[in-house]
Amino acid sequence: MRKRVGIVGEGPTDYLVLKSMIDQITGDENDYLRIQPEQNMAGEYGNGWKGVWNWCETTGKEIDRIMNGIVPKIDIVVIQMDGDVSRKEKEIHCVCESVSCDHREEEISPVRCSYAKKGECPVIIPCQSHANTPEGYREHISRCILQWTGISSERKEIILTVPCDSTDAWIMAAFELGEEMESIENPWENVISRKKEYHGIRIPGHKKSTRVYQNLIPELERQWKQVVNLCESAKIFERSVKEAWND
Amino acid sequence: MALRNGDEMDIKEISVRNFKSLYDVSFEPGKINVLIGANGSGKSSVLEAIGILSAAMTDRVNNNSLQRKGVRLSASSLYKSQFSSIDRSMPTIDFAMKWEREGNIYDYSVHLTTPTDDDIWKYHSESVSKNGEMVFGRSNRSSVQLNNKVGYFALSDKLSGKEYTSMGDYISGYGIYQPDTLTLRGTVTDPAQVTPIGLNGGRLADAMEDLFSVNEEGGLFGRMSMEDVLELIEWASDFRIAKPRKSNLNPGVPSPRQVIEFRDQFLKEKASFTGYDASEGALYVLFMLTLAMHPSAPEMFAIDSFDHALNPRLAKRVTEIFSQLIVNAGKTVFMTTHNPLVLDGLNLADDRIRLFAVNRSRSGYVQLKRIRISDELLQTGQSLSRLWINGMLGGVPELI
Repeated sequence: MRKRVGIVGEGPTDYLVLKSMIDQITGDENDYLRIQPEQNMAGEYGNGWKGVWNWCETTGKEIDRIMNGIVPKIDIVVIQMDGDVSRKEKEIHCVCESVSCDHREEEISPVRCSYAKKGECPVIIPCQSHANTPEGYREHISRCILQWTGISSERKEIILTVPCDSTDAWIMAAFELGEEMESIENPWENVISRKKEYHGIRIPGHKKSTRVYQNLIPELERQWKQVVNLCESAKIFERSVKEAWND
Repeated sequence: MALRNGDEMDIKEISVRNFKSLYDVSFEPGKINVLIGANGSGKSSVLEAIGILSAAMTDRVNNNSLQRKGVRLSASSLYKSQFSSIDRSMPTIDFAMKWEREGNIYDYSVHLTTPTDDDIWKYHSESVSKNGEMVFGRSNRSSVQLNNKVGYFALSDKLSGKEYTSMGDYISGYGIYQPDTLTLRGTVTDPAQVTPIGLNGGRLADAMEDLFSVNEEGGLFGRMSMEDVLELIEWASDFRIAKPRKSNLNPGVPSPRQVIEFRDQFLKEKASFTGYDASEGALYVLFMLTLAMHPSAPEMFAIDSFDHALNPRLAKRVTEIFSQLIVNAGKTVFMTTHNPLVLDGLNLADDRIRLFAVNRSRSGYVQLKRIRISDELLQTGQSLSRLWINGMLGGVPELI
């Protein structure tokens, strides 16, 4: 059944991947809203993983009123954050058990922490509180999103997805067969855009653009079963989408 | 104010098929209809489709009638939807409208073929029904051949009653207004001059002149007090219609017969100047108010880029006032905007004031969705502008 889906994602290429995959999984042409938080005056928190975090903390807490308060109703909300955030970004480990920080009591959201901006964050990466694996990243980020938004993990109409290492891994898995695709760090730079072309698709300036992604996505749609077999994060996403649509 | 023809006219539904990016679109308008959408989403095509419907129903469809309504003239083949996903092209472009008057429901439907060797759209079929029963109908297959270059809504004896002519009167003046600064200043002739104001704002001063009056409480501009109008033009202490003179307009500037003369509250009493030297925002405000209140202005019209040249706060206030004037007068207006604050000037709790998000489907087809907001959500402190900017309403570029 056709649904209205709000997508809170890191960027436009993630949005393109997620909406194509949802249509692929559900076999329907759904309506999509690309939900973005407002950036601050320094141009921060409007996009990327900080944008997702900012949205979760500010708007995510009102998600039920928003989903039910607008007609046509928003049936499903998808929140996406890549696994590489857990691998690379110190702020997301701020409240982890193994981290000791004197400033934690100051009640500033870690994403806006001035000490982190000044390079004074005491977090050591890899963080000792989780497994330094795709499974560990998924579990950690999902828990963070639930905590920021106050959403119950039982909610089927709110889908959390943590592609590992990023949504680029799903693209890579559509074009190539291989082991442990989710453990390849930064697949965009290390695999997809290494050369001027990727499986016959030109990548001008090695840049990750929506135009390039629009050319990559048809293969992702054709090879979705292969992607699901190779990427646990894609399998979890597919399962969540099916559960939400059958709910 | 009552409608000049004494009728309350409620348009219930407008449908368009196979016109440009509107492959299959239906929507239920109110009195004020605000369309939001990304650039290129199809908002202006919606306004144009209503223009063609209006021409087809009350006159005929050709380059002349379309230009008078502000519809862009396209190459004939480009009027029909040209989506790559369409296997078999439909032969006609179809428009329909449903309206209610005195408890009765009326339907008008027309199928048009686009011009081939000339600029004339031909009527493939046309019908009118009342409460589901056909009152008038014709098609190419009819035994009685009628002139297929003109619409019969205004000509048929079967449709000569007031119940039909009143609707014809209501929509016949429809035009798409796109005011531009040079025309409003009076230095450029309006290429689409209609009475009382041209589609680009031509002869604004002449139209405004009809709206000045005085009552026991002071000066009036239309149904508004001069004080209320001047609140929208903060710097002005007064405005009136005057002849161009050397003292208020440089003789080197081409000027119309009459000009709007302003006084600035910060300048000396004698230092009056015309619309040529005034801020463009003031001219746009006066244009909107005149269009809303002039007794000869159309009952139904569109304004493309309603917020043009207006500061966001002013746009919000003008939206509030304009909406109320239109609703009170029983008129129907379609307008597009890219200014979020315009949305904050809409009272969506009033069912006659409606917001539509225009988006494209995966195949590129225009989709028009009415947006409604619950009281509970509005009470959270969220504003419509913020919901729109954040992407909750649709009507934004997806990938920017």
